[in-house]
Amino acid sequence: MFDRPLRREEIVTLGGGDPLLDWLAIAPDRRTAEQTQAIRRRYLTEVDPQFRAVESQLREVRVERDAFARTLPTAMVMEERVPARTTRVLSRGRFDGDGERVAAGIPVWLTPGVDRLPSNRLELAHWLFRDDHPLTARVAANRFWQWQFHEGLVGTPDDFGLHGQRPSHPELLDWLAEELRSGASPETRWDVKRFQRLLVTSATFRQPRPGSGPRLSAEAIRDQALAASGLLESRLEGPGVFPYQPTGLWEELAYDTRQFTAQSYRQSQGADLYRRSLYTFWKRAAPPPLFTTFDAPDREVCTAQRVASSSPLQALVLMNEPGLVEAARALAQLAGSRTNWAPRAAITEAFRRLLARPPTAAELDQLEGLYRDEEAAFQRDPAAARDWLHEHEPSTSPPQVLSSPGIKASPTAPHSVRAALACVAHTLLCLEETLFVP
Amino acid sequence: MSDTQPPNTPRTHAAANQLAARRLFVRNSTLGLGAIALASLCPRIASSQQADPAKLGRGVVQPLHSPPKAKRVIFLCQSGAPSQVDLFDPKPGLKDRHGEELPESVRGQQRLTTMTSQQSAKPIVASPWRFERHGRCGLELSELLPHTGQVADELCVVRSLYTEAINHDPAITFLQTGSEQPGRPGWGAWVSYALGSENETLPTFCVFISGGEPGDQPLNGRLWGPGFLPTRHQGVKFRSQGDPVLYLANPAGIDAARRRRLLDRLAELQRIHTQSAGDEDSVDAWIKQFELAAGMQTAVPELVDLSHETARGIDLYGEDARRPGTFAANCLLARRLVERGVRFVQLYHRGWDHHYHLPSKLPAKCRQVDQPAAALVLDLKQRGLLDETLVVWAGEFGRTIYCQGALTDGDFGRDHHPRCFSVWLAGGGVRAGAVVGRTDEFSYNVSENPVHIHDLQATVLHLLGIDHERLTFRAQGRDFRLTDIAGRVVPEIVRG
Repeated sequence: MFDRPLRREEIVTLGGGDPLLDWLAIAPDRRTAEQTQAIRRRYLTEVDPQFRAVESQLREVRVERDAFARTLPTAMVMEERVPARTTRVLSRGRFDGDGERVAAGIPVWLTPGVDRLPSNRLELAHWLFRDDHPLTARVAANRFWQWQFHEGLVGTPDDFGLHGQRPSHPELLDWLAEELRSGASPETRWDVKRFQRLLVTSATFRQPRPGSGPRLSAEAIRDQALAASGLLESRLEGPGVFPYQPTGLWEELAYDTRQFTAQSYRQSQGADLYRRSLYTFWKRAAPPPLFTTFDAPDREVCTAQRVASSSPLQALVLMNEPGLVEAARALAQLAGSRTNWAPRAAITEAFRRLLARPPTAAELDQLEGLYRDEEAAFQRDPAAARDWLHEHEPSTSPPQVLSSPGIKASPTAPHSVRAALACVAHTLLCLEETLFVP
Repeated sequence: MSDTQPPNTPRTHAAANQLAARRLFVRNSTLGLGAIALASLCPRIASSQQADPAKLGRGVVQPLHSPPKAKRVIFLCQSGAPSQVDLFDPKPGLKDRHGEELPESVRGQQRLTTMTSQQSAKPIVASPWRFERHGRCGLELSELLPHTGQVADELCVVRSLYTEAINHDPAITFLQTGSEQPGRPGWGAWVSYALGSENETLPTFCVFISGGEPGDQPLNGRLWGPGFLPTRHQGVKFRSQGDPVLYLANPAGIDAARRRRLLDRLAELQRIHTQSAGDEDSVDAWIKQFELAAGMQTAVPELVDLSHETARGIDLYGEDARRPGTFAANCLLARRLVERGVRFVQLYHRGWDHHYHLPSKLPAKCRQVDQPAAALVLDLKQRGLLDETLVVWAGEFGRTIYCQGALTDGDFGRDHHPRCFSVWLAGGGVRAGAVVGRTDEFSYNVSENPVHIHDLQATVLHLLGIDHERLTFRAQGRDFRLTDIAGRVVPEIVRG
C-alpha cells in the first residue's frame, strides 16, 4: 500500500494509537530531538494553561488584523524584475529566435544632450521632469489651459510634433510652461492647483467671449443640471456609483451574470444617485449611454480631445432621460419654494440658477406663456400632473425609483402649479444656451 | 511657413502645417524614397477629412468613387464562430479519417489556443451531417441549413476566409473594425460616415443583439462604436424590452400634445435668443435635432409595429419572429429598416462557440438562424430590394476539424480556427449562385483564392461604391481606414 517503509510512530498512528505515549516511556536524555520537540509541543498546546491562553489571544488578534487588512484599499504596483528578463529582437515574430539582445530605453535622437538615458520607469519620470525638457511643461500647461478655456493654445493637445498645430500664442505658452514648472517658489514647482488659480483669476478668463463657446462635456451637462437643481451630492472620494441607466444594458452583452463582476447593473440608492458624473462607474464594453450620446469616449483608448457632435439622439436624452427629468422637477421645486410659487419670480429664479443671468422680457413672457398653458392643461388632467411629478420612468419600463429621494415635497403648491413649473424647468434644460459655455 | 498666417482658421492652418511638415521632412529626412512617398501621399490627406458635411445626412464620399451596386447593408454577425466544416465546407473525405490524428504537415506552425495545444491527441472529426446540393447552381450545404438551401441561387458563399486572430474579442473586433486593437470605428460607422443617411427620422446605423445565454461570448460596444469618427456615426442599439431606442418615449405625464407645445415654446425661445446672439445657423440646427427626435418618436414605434404585416409575411421568418428579441424578429425588423432607407443594419446572434457538445448545440443554434436569414433574402427579393441591399452572414473565424476534448461516439467539440472559414453574401451586386475559394481536403488551410477579412471589407465597400483606400480619417497623426493598410477587392465576389 505504501511505496516506502513506514516509521514505527506512523504505524502506531495508522493503527489508531498515539506514538507520544511510547516516547514518554523513554528516558528524557535518550529521546531524539524530534521526539522531544513533539512532546514539548503537545504539552504546550494541550496542557499548559498559560500557553493556551496566550495562543488563543494570538488567534483572536490575527483574526482582527486580517479583518482590518481587508478594509484597507489595495493598489497594484509594479516592480522591475530581478534579474531583468533577456529581451531579443524577434525576427519575423519567432519567439524562439535568437535575435539581437536589446534593453529598454528612449531613442537617442529624442534625448539630445542627455548623458544618462532612462532605462526604467523611474528614470523616465525623472527625464520627463528635467528642467531642460522641452515638452512636458508645455504640453501640461496647454492641457490645463484647454480645461479652463475649452480650447488649447495648441489645437492638437496630443500632438506637438510636425503634424500638430502651432500654438496660437507661442510666447504665452512658453511663459505658462515656465510658470507651471518653476512655480512662485521652490515649494510650488509643478503645483497644478496654483496654476489653475492663475488661469481662472486672470483678466483673460474674465473677458467676455464673442459668440458662444464650445459645448459642455457630457459629464458637465449632467453635473450642471444636478447642481442647478440642488440635487448634486458634493461628497468627495470613495467608490464609484451607479446612477440611473435603462435596464438590461449590461446583461445583454454579458458573458455570465452568475459569476463574473460588472455583468449585472445594480443601481445606487439615495444620495449616491446624485454624485458628480466623475464618480460614475464606467464599464467600457457598455458605457453609460447618457454620456456616450454626448460624445464621451468609451475609454478603451486615450482620447485627448472630444469633438462635440450633434444628433437627434441628444435631443431624445434631453427630453426623456430620467435623471435630467428629475433634475427639472427638482429645479422647479427649489425655485418655486423659494419664491412662494409666484410664477414670474419662480421662473426667473429657475432661469438664473441654470443660465447665470436673468431672462429678458421676451424670454420671460414666453416662459410665462408656457407656464400658464401647462397649468391650465394640468388642471384639466390632474392624473397627468401626478404622473409627471412623481414617476420618472417612461411608462413602458418598470419604475426603478418610485419617489425621488432628492426632492422634498412642498405641501403648499397644487400639483398643477408644480407640474407646470417643472415643464418650464425642463424646457430650460433643453435650451442650447444651457449646454454651451457662455 | 511665415508667421503672418492668420491663426484662427483651422483648415488653412492644418494645410499650412502639412505643407511645412512635408518640406521639413523632405529636407531633413535621411529616408530618401520614404520622403518622396510621403509627398505623394500628402494630397490624399485632405481628401475625405476636410469635406465635413454641414448638413445632416450627407456622407463624405461625394461623389461616389465608383458606380455602386448596393445602397444598404444588413450584416448578420454570428458571434462565437460557426463551424464551417459542419455547415458550408463539405469534406466527405474526412469520414475515412475520422478519429485519426491530424497530420502535422497539415497543421504546420499554426498556433493553437491553450485549450487544445495541451491535448495529447487531436483526432479528426468528420461532420456527422450530410451535405446536399441546392438550387440551379448546385450549392452544397449542410442538412442543418435547409432554408438557406432554398435561397442558394442568391448566395455567394466564400469558403476561403481567413484571419490572424485566434480568440473571440480580438477576432470580432477585427471583423467589425479592421484591427484587433480597440479604438477604431465599427464597419457601420464607416459606412454612415461615407454615405450618410437616406432617412433622417431613423438612425443611420442600427444594431440588434440576440441569442445570448450565460457563458456565451460577450459583445462590446466598440463593435458598433464610432471610434475616432464623429460620434453621430455610432450604431444605435435597438432593444426588445422597454423603449426600442433608448430614451425614445416621453416621460409619464407628457403626452404627444404636451410635447408638441413644449417643443414649440423651445423653438420660440431659441429664436428670441438668436435675435440677440446673431447665430441663426446654429440655432436652426439645434431646433432641427429636436424635430428629428420628435420624428423618431413616431417613426420608431411605426417601425416595430407589425400590425400591418401579413401573417404570411411574418411566418416566412418562422414562429420566433413574433417573439421580440429573437434573431428572427430582428431579421424582420432589418427588412423593415432597409425599406425605410436605413443605411446599415447590424445584427449579432450569439452562442456559436461550440467547444463542447457540438452535436446537440449546433443544430439548435442553426434552427434559430437558418429560416430567418433565408427568409430575409427571400423577402428582400420579393420586394425588389435585394439588388440594392447587401446581406452578409459571417462569424469571426472558423472551427477546428480536430476534436476539442474527448471524442466519443455521440459527442465532440471544436476549437477556434482562424486559418479558414466560410461566410456568405447575397444581393447588392454580389455574384449569385457562386462559390469563391477553396480549402484543402481537411478544411484546415485555404488552397485557392484566399480572402482575408480586409479583403471582405474592401469588397463590401466597393459594392457600395467606395474605394477602401480613399475612405480615410485622420486621427493620432495618421490616416486610418477600415482596411487598415491592406485589403483588395475580390473580383470573384462581384457580379459582372
